[in-house]
Amino acid sequence: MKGFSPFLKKEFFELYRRGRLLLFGILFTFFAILAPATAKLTPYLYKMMGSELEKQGITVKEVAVTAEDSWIQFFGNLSTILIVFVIVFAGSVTKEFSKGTAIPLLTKGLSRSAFIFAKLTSALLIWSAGFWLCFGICYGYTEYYWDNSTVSHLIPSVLLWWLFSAMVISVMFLFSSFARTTIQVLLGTGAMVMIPYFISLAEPAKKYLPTSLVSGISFCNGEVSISKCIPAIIIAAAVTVASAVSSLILINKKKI
Amino acid sequence: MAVLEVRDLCKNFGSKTVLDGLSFSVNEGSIFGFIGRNGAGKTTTMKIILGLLQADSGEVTVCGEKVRYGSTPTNKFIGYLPDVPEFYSYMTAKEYMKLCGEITGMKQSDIKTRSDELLELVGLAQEKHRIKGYSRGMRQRLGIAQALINRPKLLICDEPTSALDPVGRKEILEIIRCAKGETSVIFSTHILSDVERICDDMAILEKGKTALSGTVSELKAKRSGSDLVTVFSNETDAANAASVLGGVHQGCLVIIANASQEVLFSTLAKISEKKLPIVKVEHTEPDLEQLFMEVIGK
Repeated sequence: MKGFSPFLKKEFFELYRRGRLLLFGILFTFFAILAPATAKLTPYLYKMMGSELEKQGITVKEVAVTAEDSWIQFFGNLSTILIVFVIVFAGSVTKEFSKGTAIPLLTKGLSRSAFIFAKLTSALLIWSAGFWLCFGICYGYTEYYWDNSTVSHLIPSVLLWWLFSAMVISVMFLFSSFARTTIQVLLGTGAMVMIPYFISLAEPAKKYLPTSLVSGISFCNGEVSISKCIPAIIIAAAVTVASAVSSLILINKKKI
Repeated sequence: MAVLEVRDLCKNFGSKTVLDGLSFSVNEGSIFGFIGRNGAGKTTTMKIILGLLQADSGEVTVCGEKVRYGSTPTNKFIGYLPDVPEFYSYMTAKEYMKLCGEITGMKQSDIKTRSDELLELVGLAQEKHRIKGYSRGMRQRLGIAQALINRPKLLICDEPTSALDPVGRKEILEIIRCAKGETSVIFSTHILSDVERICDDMAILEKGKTALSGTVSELKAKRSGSDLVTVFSNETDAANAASVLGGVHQGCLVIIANASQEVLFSTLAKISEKKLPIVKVEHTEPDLEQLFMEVIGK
């Protein structure tokens, strides 16, 4: 792992200099505020549209918004942020090789494992920091307007979503370790998410598939039991670790 | 002592044989010119030396240690300048040098001193802008500076002057010449005048093998004379003269290959005696270009 620490520092420096820290800071904050704001504004929106809807024969009654509505929005927004994050980071490794920026450093003794592990670490750290910042802001606003204690299993539900996102990021770096283009990384990562998603439409398979970890609000309102998802939790954790370890091995076999 | 030894290196890409038993060595403190046509396998050889590519067979040792494919520990002895060096465009030259120093495990104080020294050498010490705005020549100069940061025993330069204008070329060659004091240099190129200008030793790579190797002066001496070219105003005169002078008739030219001084004098005597209507006679010093052409059979 020679050169891990200076290369990790370089990764953060790059994120800062290229404005990505700012971009994700704004993105996470925006979506964090958007969730309670959307929930808060829902009754007003209905009220504004009331007369229009009445003309069409739809009667709008008083809409009662709770903390749960805010968290429904929050969980809904997470997938959008994760998609943006994957798109931005998918070229992180492949571009270093296609442009040739990695070559001088690799020939200086930076080990390939350190190279990809620093990339994975920085991506996971940035994602996690943004993710929990997003959660914290949303939690604060929701608490201010409503009462978070009415939403059960909130923290475990968010933790499971985080585990799923960490798995997706780890898988993305697995593909990055051998793919030649960013498109290949995106397709591979997309397939690794979409295939289990379609399989999970069959009810018996659901509890084994990591895609069930993003049930979010269904965990909170008890529609889906967290204890039933233990196999999926184990599999997601195993896939995360296995992808990270495999990427360290596969990058050493990459032809440059 | 040899800093680099390449023995019987073979490499195929699919059915195409690029290296077919290549062998050569680079001595300590020398500048070694590695010559070959475009696509001859120069970059492939260099990538194998750096452990970036796997050879099918053969062995490479750097400072006595065997090169391994992947993360090879022998890279601690090497500084590498790729043919088109690419750096992180959002950094300044100083920031990039610092990163390189840290990667190689140098102390902060040493990184600072060495960076200042090298940036001064390559003329980038006053450059405050980010690499994004650098010209090709500036990138090449930064490439040499980063390659030398950890005082390597061997500096590998892959066609460092090929894409540069004459001023840029001259600057890079001077920097390489300056670097000779502290490192051995292997320098691939197809520009033979560059080799003549700065190299001590050289090897010509042809058909995946070392077609010729030795010191530059030795190899130049191998060629006893260059071609003697006599130019006539028309083809008929040239054809007639060819039968008198000997040699080959090509258009308005009569060429006597590998002509020594004696051949030159006797040809001039025949021209004078037969009053042949020549335009000019050319007999230049043997140079590497002719040698190279002979080796590659052109």
